[in-house]
Amino acid sequence: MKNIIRTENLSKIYGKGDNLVKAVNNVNLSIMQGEFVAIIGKSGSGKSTLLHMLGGLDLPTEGKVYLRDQDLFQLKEDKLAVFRRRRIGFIFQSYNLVSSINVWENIVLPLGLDGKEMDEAFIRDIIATLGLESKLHNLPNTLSGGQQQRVAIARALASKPDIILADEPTGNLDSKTSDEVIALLKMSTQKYGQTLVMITHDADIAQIADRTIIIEDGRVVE
Amino acid sequence: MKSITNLAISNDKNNKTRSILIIITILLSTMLLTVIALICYSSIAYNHKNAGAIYGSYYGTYANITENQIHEMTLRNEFSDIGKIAYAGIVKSDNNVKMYWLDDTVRKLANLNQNLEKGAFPKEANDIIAQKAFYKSIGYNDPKVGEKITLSCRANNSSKYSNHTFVICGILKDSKSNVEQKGYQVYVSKEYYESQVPKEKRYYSVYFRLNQSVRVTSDNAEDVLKKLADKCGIAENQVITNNYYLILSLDPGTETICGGLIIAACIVLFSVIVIYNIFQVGITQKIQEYGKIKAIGATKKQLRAVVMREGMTLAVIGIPIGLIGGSIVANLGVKWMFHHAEEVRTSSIKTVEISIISIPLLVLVAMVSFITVWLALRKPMRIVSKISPVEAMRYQEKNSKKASIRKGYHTMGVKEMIFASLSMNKKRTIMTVCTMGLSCVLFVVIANLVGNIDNEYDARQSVEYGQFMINLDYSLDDKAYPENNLDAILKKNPLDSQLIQDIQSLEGVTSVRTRNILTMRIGKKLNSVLVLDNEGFEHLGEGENGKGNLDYDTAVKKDAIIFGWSYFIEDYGFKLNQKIMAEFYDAKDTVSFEGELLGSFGNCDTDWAITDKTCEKLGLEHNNVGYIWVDCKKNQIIKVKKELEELLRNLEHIEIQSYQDVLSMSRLGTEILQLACYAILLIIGVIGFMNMANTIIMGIITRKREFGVLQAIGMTNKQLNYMLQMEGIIFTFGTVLIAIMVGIPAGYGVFQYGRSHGWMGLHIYHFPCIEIFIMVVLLLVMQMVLSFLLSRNIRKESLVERIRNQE
Repeated sequence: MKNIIRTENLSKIYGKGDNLVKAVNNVNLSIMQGEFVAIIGKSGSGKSTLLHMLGGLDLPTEGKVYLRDQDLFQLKEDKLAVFRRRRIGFIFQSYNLVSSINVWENIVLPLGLDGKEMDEAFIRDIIATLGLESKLHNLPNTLSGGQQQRVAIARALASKPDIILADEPTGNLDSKTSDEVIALLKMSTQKYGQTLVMITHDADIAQIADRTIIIEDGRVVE
Repeated sequence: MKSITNLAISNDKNNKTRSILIIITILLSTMLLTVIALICYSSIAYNHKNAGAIYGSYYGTYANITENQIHEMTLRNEFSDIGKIAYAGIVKSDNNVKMYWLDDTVRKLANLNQNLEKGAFPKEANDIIAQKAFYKSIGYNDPKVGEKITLSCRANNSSKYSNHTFVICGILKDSKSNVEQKGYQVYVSKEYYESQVPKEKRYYSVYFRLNQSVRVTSDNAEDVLKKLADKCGIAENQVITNNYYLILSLDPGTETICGGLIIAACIVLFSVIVIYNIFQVGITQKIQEYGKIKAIGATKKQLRAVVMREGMTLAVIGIPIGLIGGSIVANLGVKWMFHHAEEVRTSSIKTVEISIISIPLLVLVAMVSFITVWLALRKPMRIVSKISPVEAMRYQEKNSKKASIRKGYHTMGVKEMIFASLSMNKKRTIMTVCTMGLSCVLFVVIANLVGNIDNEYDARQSVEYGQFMINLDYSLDDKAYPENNLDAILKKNPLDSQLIQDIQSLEGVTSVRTRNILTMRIGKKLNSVLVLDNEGFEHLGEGENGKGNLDYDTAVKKDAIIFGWSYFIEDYGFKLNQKIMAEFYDAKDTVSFEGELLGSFGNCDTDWAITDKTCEKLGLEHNNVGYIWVDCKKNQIIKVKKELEELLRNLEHIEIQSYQDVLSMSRLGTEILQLACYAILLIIGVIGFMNMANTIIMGIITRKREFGVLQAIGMTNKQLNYMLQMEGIIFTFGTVLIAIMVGIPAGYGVFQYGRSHGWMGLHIYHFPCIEIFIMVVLLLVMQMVLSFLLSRNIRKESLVERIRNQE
């Protein structure tokens, strides 16, 4: 299997002197294509910062992130944004759907921003897989948390990215819905052959991952 | 209570942008209200204070009355000041020199003391006072107080001239009109007067003021003065009212106050909408905070107090600055206006400077501004006090319709995002566009008016042809000096054929036109009548507000008569198509006339008009020239003017007007009007823009997270900038659309109304392209600068911070 993402001595340091916090400290890791990796760690351990840097949302203080051999931080801001919308799908804890547009529009938005012709059959397939057919015209705030997160998953999958980064996608959901969402997420990434990196608190969820990375005080422990 | 105030102040500090925008809005509206209030106040105060200085502070005069009648007057408590002036004879001279005796009261009421250059008014028997020019005219080039002069004079036409030695007790300033007309009034002592005029022949003109308790307005003054005259045994035709003084000093300024109040009401309404909007737009975030306060035990009343104090704290900052700024602007504006008005005024009398700052008025303006803020706060206070803590935490701004479904677009790009977010906030978008649109509508309406003032047309209303107009300066009912009345002037018409020939022979004069004038009596009343040829008739007929049939040929055929001022036709007791019976006079003849009142011009220079053909038929063909228009080559205007003035120097009862002077006066008037209008509009525009700025700013602050998400899923900075710019441009476009769709028809309507009511120089409608172009460019620039600054401001925060930004 090919290496899809890897980091080299990745560090993120906040503050100076006594207030110096090493949120991510010299992390070297690599993730294979099609792999489902769970990143677990305590609150404040630096897992979200790591994920943000993997997705090019946050700049490291030191080190590099390669996505398919492309050094993310070599890219200029706008190029990085384009790279992100083509190669990376994000799923956030608080769904982060755009409230003024409906479900369908949210899903196709990354494609629209890229000005690409959409593969409608593919998108319809994702929608069917996630069971959102009847909600396409709904505005996000009329949906339940689980439904909103499914829309977020569909949005992340729609642009056929190389990797999906999920930041505690079930953090705001009850356990039943949470199980459903994870099942759907795993199923759909497998179906479309995508790599999934997920942050979670939940040990049960971590167990269904192919691999678990534990973060403690900004360092990869395992 | 203190903790509520502290909470309100800290809320204001936290919402810095909102607070600044509200302070600016309050400041600007207070400033505008202050300027309007102070300008209205100062124009009324100026009129009241200066009416006396310009026109004399007497209510009227009773002419030719006896000492007994004066005694009757003194017995009545309605009269507060009574001053006497009497004709004391004539001085033998080439000029028309009349002698008068007058008392201190007349001097005071008629402002004669202001004319004193040296010395004092006569006290001793042989004292005399006159203008410098008079002394010169009798050979005393350097008159000195105390110098003796000998004059040949007589008391009336039936006595003989005899020499009399006077002592110069004072010198009066020269006045332009007396010097040009070579007519002088000299003043002598009471003793001299009484020595010349026997008791039984003494007649006086009495100048008087009325007691404050007498209810007199400029409308009823004439009646009141006549009734009082009657009570003192004085006939109606001996009564002369000092109309200009009464109009200016007794007018409570109702029209000015009403105008000011209407503008002020518009400003208050507009400011209420804007301040309310600024409060309301940010309410989503705020309500959640209020919910928390309520959850920890604040009562409804306390919550209302928090909102109230938030607003009032901002008002306390904005209002004083607005009052000070407004006072400064009003002061400068009024000074500038009066300075220009002074330049235009021809009289030599210095007007009294007035202080335009009125503390009670400023207090009133401050109160109005506080009420404005209170009105704007009412709804936010209600919303905040009504909401339950749990609801408050989840409060979402209500949209015009509670949508859960959106049809949406099939593909989704930046453009679609823009329309989606605008339609999501439909109510806010519409409110913003409407308030901004409203100020632009006002702009377009005013631009339609002031942009269309045609100064040349306005000037041609005064000087119909050529470069100069020479016309007779006459009265119609001067009882004290009947020689000033038109019928008397026409008998020795100074505009004779010799004068016309002289004018024609001046170098540079290209053409000379004349128009005749006649007098006519209907009953006892003397009227002026214009004699019009076909061209002149049609020119006046084309003017606004004409009534009835104004066709020259019909008027010729029917030998009809036309009324001069359609607005007053009923007031004078006439109606169209009635038969008018009158006596016509020219220099020599008197002719009876009977003709139909065919129509009425909107306004013409005389009371009535007939055609030249009718005049011919009546046989009134003596020298009746009332107007001479002189045209000349453009490069010789100054030279011709000088020569004309030289030619007219020794003639009485003549006025000369230059087209260029009238034109520059009209231009000055337009400039003042334009400056005032556009200044008010600019401030209203800025207030409107505060609202738009607030909507754009709040729209961005509340969507910071959304923008973060959009950028996380791949929106580039370029796309984000484009989106924000486009949103602003749509606001601008909506505003301009409203401004044009509502403003242009409304402006055209107001133009037509103004034209039909003879408002200054409104003649041909031109679309105000330049003004609208400037408005659009200004709007675009302001909006683009704002969007640019905001998108730069957003990018200061990192993407991750923005995504985490909790609403």
